[in-house]
Amino acid sequence: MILSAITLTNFRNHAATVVKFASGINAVLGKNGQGKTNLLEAVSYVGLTKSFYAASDRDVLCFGAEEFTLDARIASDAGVEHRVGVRYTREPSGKSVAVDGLEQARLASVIGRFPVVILSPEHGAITSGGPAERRKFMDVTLSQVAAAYLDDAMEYRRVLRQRNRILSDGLQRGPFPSAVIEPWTESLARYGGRIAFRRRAFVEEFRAYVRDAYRSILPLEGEATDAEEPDLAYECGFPVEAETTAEGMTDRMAAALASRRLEEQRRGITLAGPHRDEIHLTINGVDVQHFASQGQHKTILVALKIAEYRYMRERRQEAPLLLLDDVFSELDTGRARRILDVTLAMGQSIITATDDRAFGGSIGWGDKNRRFTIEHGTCRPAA
Amino acid sequence: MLYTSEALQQLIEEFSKLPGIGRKSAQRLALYLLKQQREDVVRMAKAMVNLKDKIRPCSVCCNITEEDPCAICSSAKRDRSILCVVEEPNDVIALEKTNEFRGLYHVLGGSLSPLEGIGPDDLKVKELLLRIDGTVVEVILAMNPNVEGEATTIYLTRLLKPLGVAVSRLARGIPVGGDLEFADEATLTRALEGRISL
Ligand SMILES: [Zn+2]
Repeated sequence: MILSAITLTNFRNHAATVVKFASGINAVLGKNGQGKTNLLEAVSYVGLTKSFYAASDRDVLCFGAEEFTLDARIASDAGVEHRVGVRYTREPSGKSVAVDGLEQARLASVIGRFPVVILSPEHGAITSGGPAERRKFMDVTLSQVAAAYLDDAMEYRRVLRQRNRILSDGLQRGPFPSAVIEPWTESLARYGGRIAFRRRAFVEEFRAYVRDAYRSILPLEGEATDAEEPDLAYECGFPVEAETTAEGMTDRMAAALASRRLEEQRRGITLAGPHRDEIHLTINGVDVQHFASQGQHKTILVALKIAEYRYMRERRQEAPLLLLDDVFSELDTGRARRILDVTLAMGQSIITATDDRAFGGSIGWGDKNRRFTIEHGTCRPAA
Repeated sequence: MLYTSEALQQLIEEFSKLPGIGRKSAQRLALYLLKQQREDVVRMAKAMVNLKDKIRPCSVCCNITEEDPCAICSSAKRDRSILCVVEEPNDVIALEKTNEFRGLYHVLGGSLSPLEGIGPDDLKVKELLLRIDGTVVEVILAMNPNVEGEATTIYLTRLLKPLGVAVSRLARGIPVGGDLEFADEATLTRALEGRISL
């Protein structure tokens, strides 16, 4: 897809901003705090109906404003023009998304239609943080590829909260009849089985994408890193075998919950399910989270995002929009150069940076690749 | 005080407690009423009070009614062998509009939701089980298509099946008038799962 233009009204520090994007690299340049990341957040709303950064819609509402709106013009790879409108009102609090003027009954139905891949400094936690960060990465990718996965994930989360409430209430008020928790256990196992099955298949497919991407951005020859081989492994949050089928997953999860019933009642929390999944990231068999070098962390993170981009493009038959928030600031020029080369081959991207040094002198700025400057929430094409 | 009248402020506060009404709309509604004729406003206020004074639960189906038992429960034209279990009185109105269902209803008064403190004892479950007395041969569970409705369906199925009645649920799937082509993927997946053998 190509995002040809976006209009922001009362979004963060953008009172009224219109940006017309080029189909290649769009460099958004400016000092910190001028509104660069805010522009990417707005684009994130178009693809994912929310910010990749802010916790709530209220956080991105311009101070003192009653509502914010976004209006995006998008062309699909097949050449079909779409308009996506996002509106959030503070009082009564509510968000709506309209596609081609048609208000969507479910926000979730928009996710995946206009695929985006985002890399921002917060995503460092994917490789350096705990398993929850890697589960989130997987969820965002899979949700944009399979709407049914997103549905299952949302409903799983809701059932899990309901079930945990029964267990934690039980800690305070004493034992409850098993009939009270059984319906939730059955639901949880059904959604959980489907999620685990999808995730396992995803990791199996995704490994090759990550290896290829990693190779393509390794620093230039001369640095002793060319023998590095990254890998991913899925560890299910309940015992399964390699040959367990989709239905089998649900049975396994139900069995795992049954076997831990007493422990769950003692601890007041659900102890088996995909909310306890882990994706192990390794380089040459060594765990990334605990043992990788700074450089390896950065390289594998960028590799994960490039892999995500290519995976989504193949699955959806639609090139995602790539959003890179301030990723070059901490990279050496060799690495930045390689990433830029790969990015150039990926279609449309919006890249924020404090200045255009990171882009070197090799990009031809013009119709295909455009530069913008942002100052106090005002975005202008650079001279 | 923000407003020059305490009466106005009070009404605005009452209105803003209503679902979907923000402070701004509440203010607009209150000022609108102020401009209306006194008898019109009195009629409206009376209608609100009547709502609380005249309506009570039907002792059979737990739906809201002015006469007990309600018109549906006491109608001779309804099929007493089929019971449709719904969450709220709204759902009865929606199903009655279809003119298709000729059986009786049972209004649970909500769905299971531990997060909101709603357990089986907070719903009209005992009242439902009392109605399974040999006349009823089929129970249709028509809960909302969300996780709370689903858990309620599972809970009731487990209670009802041993009583020897046929239990069915509404199919979850393509909305009527929706083209297969335009149904979103998640809806299609659900519809496939909920397919009915013919
Ligand atoms: Zn009745």
